[in-house]
Amino acid sequence: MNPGGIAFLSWKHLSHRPMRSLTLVTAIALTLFFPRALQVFISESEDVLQERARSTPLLVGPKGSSIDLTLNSLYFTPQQLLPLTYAAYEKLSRQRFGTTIPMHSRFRAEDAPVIGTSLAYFELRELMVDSGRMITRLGDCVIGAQLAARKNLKAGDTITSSPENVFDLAGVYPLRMRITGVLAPNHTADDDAVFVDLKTTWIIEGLAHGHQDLTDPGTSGAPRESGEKVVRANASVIEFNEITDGNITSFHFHGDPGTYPLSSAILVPRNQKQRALALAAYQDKDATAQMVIPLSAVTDLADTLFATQRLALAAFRLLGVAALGLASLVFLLSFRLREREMLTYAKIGAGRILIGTLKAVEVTIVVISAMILARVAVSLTRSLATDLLSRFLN
Amino acid sequence: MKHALPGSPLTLALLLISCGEEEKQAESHGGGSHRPVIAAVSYPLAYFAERLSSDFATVLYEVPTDQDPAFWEPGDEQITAIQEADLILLNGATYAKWVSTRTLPGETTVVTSSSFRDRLMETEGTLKHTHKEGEEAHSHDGLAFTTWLDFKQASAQASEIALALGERFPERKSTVMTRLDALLEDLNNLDTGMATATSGLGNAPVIVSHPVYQYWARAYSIVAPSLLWEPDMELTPGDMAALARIREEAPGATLFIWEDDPLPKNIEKLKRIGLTSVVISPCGNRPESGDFLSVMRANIAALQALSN
Repeated sequence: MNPGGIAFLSWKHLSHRPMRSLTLVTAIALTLFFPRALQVFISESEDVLQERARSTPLLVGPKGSSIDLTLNSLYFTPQQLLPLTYAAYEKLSRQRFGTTIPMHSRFRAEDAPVIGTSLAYFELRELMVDSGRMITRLGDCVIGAQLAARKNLKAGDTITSSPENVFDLAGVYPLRMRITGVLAPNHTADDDAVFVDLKTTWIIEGLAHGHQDLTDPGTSGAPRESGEKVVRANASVIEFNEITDGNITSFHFHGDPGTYPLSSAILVPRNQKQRALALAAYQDKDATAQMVIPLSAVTDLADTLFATQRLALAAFRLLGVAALGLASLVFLLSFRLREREMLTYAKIGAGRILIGTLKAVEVTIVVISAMILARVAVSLTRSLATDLLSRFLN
Repeated sequence: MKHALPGSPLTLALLLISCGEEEKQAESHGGGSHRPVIAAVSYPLAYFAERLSSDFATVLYEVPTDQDPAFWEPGDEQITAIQEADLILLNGATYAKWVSTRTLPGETTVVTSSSFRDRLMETEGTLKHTHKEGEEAHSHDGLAFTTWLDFKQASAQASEIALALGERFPERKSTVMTRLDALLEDLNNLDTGMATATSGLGNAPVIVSHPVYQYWARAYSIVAPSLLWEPDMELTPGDMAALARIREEAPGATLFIWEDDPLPKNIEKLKRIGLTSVVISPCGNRPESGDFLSVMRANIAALQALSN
């Protein structure tokens, strides 16, 4: 029998029992796919994490987990650490170790993180405004491309900050923010964030506010006696929950700005000397702030992932051996069931080699199909890994 | 063996690339088509910046002449233009109230009064308020901000601008520093002139029409109680009563200082009660004629004329 005939008979048999063949192909494909997909996913994760960490030379934040600080600053994960004070940020700026960029990521709007920062952040991340324009004042925000698409938002719309606790009726007023622009996508956590001036986050926090002019005798809730130098405002004084051209001059800050909170600060030294000086300045064990090299923190995280990966790979290998054993059993049982069919082949002149070849071709078709399927699935995983990772991290 | 000859395509390409690099460098240092922009929030700062950098930079100062730069509110487009400036010069001391509510790039922003921030004066006599029991009463008025009327402070501000220009445009540093010397000399002459002119006033208090002379008064040891009058307002009996109260608190005053030329009938009213009007312009905004130097010289001349 020619090779074409062998292939024809094998194909005919496989297609005669499609469910069995498909199950075999899928089982073998999954056995091959899982370990490889895990490797791909972890490798892509490492690349994604390291790429963003590489573009963030140094981070300054409160003492605590360096990984928490890094993930919060780079991926806007919920803030786990205590805040950094603005006084600590100002001290860092005055030391002239390079460009300092404040980050305050405590609040959310429409489930997206609200990031209070400075214009230098957009330069660092090479974020360009795709439509609209950059923020110019308190209450302005620019939003990431993914958030804009998901919520159908555009320049000129508004977005309102979410209260931290819905049961906290006496808490901070939600602030309605003016969307001045939508950023071009950069396929990072920035695509799903709301960016505002640092001072705007302090308004959301309740450290600054705008209200009716208390010195105006017509203002309700602003009683004062003749000649009294202090006006005591009560709850009936209207506080503004949106910043407009008409009320922007009434917004003002309370308390000592040095105590105002930040999540962290990004430091971009201009040269190696500045970097070394900055790292040395934060070596003091008594310091209340820490300096973190995000790349090191991410590498530590990746090392942990690799340890987990090794464990998972060992488990997958064992499972793979078991699955291949089961597949072999299925083939053997299948050939046992087809003994009469093989006898017929022998009676019409097929030798042992030909019958063996027929069985081998069937197995080969199944294995090759499974390998192709696994390969396609791995490619898909590779292409989706970056997006999936961004979603997991957010 | 072939060699790359001077006229070969490779040499030509290298030449073109090197020319491109030179152009880029020239542009980044202010020598190319991109002329650096320096934004200033007040006219004195704009004047200092023009004196120090007029040959290589454009000074962006857009406050209309009929408005007070301290309380001017820029539009979004103006803020965008300021954000894009190579250097943004702030006065500090809460001058230009808009600064606290707008987004400015920290890297290019320079607070010119930072070297004497511990000597800034708080404004007095403004209404205070609290929002809840136990909260510290506060005023929204902030600090006295006409810092440049003390010419030593003006010199410090000019020096701060020169330092920032030198850092931002290192290739222009020597020129800027040479120009700073000339500017500091002018400011020093103003300081000497103002000290001489004010010494002729004796120890008598000087009543000022607006609370913008705090640093001037401190620098030249003058007692200067303040009203809240505008030069073009009609003086009412209430205003005259407020003036009378001040004269009771600070007896002996014979001089009344205006920010700008007052209405002739106001001069007459004050003259009738023994007060001589004189204009000492703070020059916060660009003058209709002349410049910062000529306005300050006119201020000194006006005071000297009283002594003569």
